[in-house]
Amino acid sequence: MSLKTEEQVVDLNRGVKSEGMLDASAEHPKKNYFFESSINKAARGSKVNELKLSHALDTDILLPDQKASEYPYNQVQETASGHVIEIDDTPGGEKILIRHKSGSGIELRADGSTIASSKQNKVEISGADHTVIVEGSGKLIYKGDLNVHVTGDYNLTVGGNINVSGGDLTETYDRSITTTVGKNEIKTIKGSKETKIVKNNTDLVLGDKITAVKGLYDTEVSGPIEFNTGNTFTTTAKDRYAISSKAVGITGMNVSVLGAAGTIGGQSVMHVGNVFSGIDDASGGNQKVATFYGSLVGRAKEADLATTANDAKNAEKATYADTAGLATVGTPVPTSPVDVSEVYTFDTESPSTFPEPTTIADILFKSSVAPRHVQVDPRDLIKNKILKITEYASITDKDVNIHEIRALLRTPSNKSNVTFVGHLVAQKKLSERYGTTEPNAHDGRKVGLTPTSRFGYEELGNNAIQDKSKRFTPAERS
Amino acid sequence: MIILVDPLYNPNFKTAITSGTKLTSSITVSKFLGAVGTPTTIEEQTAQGTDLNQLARNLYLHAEAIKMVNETSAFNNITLIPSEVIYPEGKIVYYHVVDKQGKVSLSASFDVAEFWKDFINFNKITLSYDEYNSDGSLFVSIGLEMPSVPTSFDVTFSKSIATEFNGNIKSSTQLIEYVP
Repeated sequence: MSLKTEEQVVDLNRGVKSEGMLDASAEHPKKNYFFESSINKAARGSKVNELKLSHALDTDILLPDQKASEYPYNQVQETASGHVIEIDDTPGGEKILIRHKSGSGIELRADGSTIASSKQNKVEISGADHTVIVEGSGKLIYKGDLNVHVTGDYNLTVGGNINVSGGDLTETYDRSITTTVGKNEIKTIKGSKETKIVKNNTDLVLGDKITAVKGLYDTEVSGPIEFNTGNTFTTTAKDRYAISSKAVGITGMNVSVLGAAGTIGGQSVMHVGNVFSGIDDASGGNQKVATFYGSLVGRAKEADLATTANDAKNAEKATYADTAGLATVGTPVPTSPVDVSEVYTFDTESPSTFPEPTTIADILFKSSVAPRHVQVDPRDLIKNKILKITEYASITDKDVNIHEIRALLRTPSNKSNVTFVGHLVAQKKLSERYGTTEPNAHDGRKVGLTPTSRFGYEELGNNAIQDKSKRFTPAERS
Repeated sequence: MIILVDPLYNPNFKTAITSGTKLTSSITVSKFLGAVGTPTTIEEQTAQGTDLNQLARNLYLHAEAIKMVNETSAFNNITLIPSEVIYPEGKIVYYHVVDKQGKVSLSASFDVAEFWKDFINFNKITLSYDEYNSDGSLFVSIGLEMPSVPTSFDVTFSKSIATEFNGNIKSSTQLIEYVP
């Protein structure tokens, strides 16, 4: 390496003042170093440089207080504007700090904790993969919105429970959803539920299925409906049961249609069967208790009394009744109709041989096919429990925390609602002292509207050090 | 008084107010929507007929009040958290002053209330103490009421202060600090 000539040296120093090492702008010493050592306060331990941190309610960031540095272990570099780099070997307080004048920076603390703080935006970019491993628990608090964009798959595996709470939930999937629930699924919906399915809906239930509806149950189907069961099918209606169609077919090996009163048939209805039975005269007399209108064609086994039988006025017994005149007079023998009990005998009933009104009443009110007395939450107990109407007197329908309670109690009518506050106290969500008017505390500072005299918060300009310690009173704002 | 609004964050210039609408460089509308005592959503407020632009203009003043505290070195160790917003207008917001343990600081709450009293314009500041916590401990919120802000941002501030305990007014002329 050759020595530079005098001309070259002069050239290198051109523009540099001969007193270049001096503090030309008189920045130093800083005013807070007047009348004391020029060694950085942080190096001497009279000041602890800290990052500006943000906090969140009920969230301890678990950072112990910092130990002040001891001279000469802390190497501090602080610039005129306030940027700081500290490498501190103070026993028990070893740390590395890089802090921007704004308070942003990185700190590696004595216990090994690492803090990265940004007062404004923070950007992390990884050109390839990114892996985060946390041995303990974590907490993410976003005081604004959080948007997560994943170009590929988003896989979330949780060993414990997943608890999600929030306002509205909107899910949009372009393709399918497959959900497998290992045990039970319980949903409570405080409002309404609406499902729209463009194609098919198939429910397979391998156990029982029970649907209870308090209000209207309305099913409208454009196409055919099929209800098929491999066992019994029972439908009952307490007040009225109507079936209507252009054509109704009831087919069974054993069909019973019973009623205490009513009509079966129509103008062109044919009754076909083995036996047509009317009410018998229980006294054994000749009371006419069943009436048949129209022509009879066929064979009558017995006719006790015929007042009009073409040309027969009295026919006690007729074996052929095309014209009853051929019948011979005989002894009346009342004969019960053939046993039709099996026609209306049900599993649990064994009615008499005739469907007497009492029998029908028994079927209607005592049998296994009797109309059910249906009541779904008749006193709104379930509804009130879900909506917490009984507990919270309709003031809120959600499980409230102390912050929400505080907000609700700002409304005087809520606070004076004995039911509401009573339940909150009983649930130990609200202190019994909620109604006291004097705090369990003593008075501290008191200030009026007049501006308070105070020390300055910031050092302004290159004023004398006294200015910082001087008290000042803010001007009154109009 | 006409407030000079940062055009970047002037709600009047927004085509739509969303939870992500910025009121300052670091404060969005969602900071208020997510208030722990009155959590809500833009959709819910829309359904309830809230004028979102009016809400955003009113919250702008609150955001500026928060920003002022955040930028003051004396409050480096605390954080101001909106805890309740009184809808639909958002004129009144209650705040918690939280320390690094995540607890509400009684003394720092008084400091902030006093700071606001001297350095910002407002309609009313209320130091709202209570013993509602289940353990009966003393708790405090700061209620800050701003005027309803028209599109012109021409507002008048009626400055008053008060202290209340469990909803009972203890002083309507002073901020009083209670020390347990």
